[in-house]
Amino acid sequence: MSGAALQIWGLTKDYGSTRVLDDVTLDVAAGEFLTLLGPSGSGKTTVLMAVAGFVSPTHGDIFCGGRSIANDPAEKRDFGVVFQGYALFPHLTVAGNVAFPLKVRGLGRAERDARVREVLDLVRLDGLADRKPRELSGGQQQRVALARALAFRPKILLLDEPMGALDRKLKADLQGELRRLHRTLGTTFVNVTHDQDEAMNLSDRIAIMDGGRLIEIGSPSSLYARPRTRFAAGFLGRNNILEGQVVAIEDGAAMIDVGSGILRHALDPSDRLAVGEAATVALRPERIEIRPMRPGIDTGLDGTIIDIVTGGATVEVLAAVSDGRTLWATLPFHGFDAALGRGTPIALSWTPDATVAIGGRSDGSP
Amino acid sequence: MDEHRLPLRRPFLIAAVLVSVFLALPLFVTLPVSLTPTRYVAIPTEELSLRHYREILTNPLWLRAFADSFLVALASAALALILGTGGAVGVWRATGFAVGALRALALLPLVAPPVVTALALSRAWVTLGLFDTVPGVILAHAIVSMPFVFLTVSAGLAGLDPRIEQAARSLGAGPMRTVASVLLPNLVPSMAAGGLFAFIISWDEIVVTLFVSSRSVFTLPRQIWSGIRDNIDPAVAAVSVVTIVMTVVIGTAALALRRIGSGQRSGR
Repeated sequence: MSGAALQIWGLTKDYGSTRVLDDVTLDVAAGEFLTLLGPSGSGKTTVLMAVAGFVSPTHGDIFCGGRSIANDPAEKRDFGVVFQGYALFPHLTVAGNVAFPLKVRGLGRAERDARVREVLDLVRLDGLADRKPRELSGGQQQRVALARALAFRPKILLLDEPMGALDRKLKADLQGELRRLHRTLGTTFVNVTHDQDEAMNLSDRIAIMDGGRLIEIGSPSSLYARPRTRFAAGFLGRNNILEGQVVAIEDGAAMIDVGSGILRHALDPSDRLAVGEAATVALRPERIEIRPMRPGIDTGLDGTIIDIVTGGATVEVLAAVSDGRTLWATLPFHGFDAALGRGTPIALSWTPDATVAIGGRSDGSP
Repeated sequence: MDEHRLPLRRPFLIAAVLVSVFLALPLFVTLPVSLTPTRYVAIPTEELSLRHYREILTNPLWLRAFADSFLVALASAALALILGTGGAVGVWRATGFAVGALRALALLPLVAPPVVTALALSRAWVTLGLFDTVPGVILAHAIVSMPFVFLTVSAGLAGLDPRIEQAARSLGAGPMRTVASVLLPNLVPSMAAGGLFAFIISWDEIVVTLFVSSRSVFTLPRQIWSGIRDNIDPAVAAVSVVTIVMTVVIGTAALALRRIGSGQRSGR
């Protein structure tokens, strides 16, 4: 496949009888920002460490530029790695850390100094060159780790939970910084995180992992708008999951009986729904409106408000429908009807294209 | 505020002072005796003399003991440093069941009663032809002092992020270069401390030395031992003072270095 900077093929890793990676296959395009997203224990870091050369796969192969690198030692792979906790060399200054890969590669002093200056400038750390890592803040240490990993101009940069130890505000700043670096350098970035916001904000594509398997891969917007698996639907942002049975298919829509009512679901070409079979759909809370159904346009359910949570720009309404199941609806704060309160009966309505049919099982198999 | 945090501070402080005085007591006898002008052991009453210090600096027996001790301490400390550092790094890298087992093994010479170690080494050295040889004593001392290097270097390693080795590899350094330019520079203070500990342990060592040597190797403690058995000579006190001073100076340096070694990264 042309344009792929990195190909991971059938990657499997066993520790004794425990399978931590199960047949992971994915391509990373040149210049892409790909994020491996998953809960802890999902195998995302193991994939990254296998690419970096610190985990040898039990089965499968890894190709870079069309050549298998699975047996190359880590130091021959030429990938920049930003480690969790940064792993800076405590005995070296900032400049010494950044110069390390250049020294190893035998660059002359003048060129080394020029490169160090250039890359420290790139991560906006000029002026701190003579400090020791322990004299720096967490955010500054992260920048040094980035500068060190980028100093030798690697084709691919691997990032293992790079924001893990940082507070919220700093995270936002550094996410902006990472985006800027990715834009300016054109380097392929492979990032690992459990933070869905970070994944959404940074990535060209997200690979969602769970239990050692690749669940779903796609752009943040397609994964958000049209998840194909229940796991992706539930992991990326908040979703209401409605389960029922298809009772009819007519005019490009499936009628799904969810117990507390019959919903109209606009069919997507990829949907495989058949009359009489079970169906599961996901519904984003922000697609729900609290207003009576417009006949012929909307679909929806009747419910009662259980709780109202004001979140700033939005208001989250938790409502129970007739069979006791609950739905979250997200409404804009501006224009929210102050007369609504706990116990108020409401009509929850949405357009039939708001629901997305997802696989019944969390592993994505049909 | 300290008083509030530790209500029993004062009694503990008094106890600590008493124990320190008790431990230092030999020095209060040894130092005056070493300065006596008499030929026999006595506390000087009228005048002080350095004649016994002159004696140990001119008597070939004492000079030879100093030389033997210095050679044995230096060589065994170097050997213990290599073994102890290698062992500590190996255990630091190991995972799972191996860690506990290897740690216990490395500390065995520390736990075993010295007499048992001494007897075992004595037997083994006779079989191996190392009995009463300088290399034999060096090797025996290295075995006894290795755990101190192991412990000191392990403490230094505990403050290091194990990922710095992976970081060095990912940046292009091979395994040897990673050890030489990333691991060792970070361990210099701990290794220096461990080496000094090993040196003073060998410098003071008597039990194992008595069991593995007879005529050809006379370290300082052994010479003192024979000295006080043959005739009680105030020169022994002078040698003791020199030994105590060396131990205190080197030991203090080792403790200071150990603090640097395990404390330099605590600000992280």
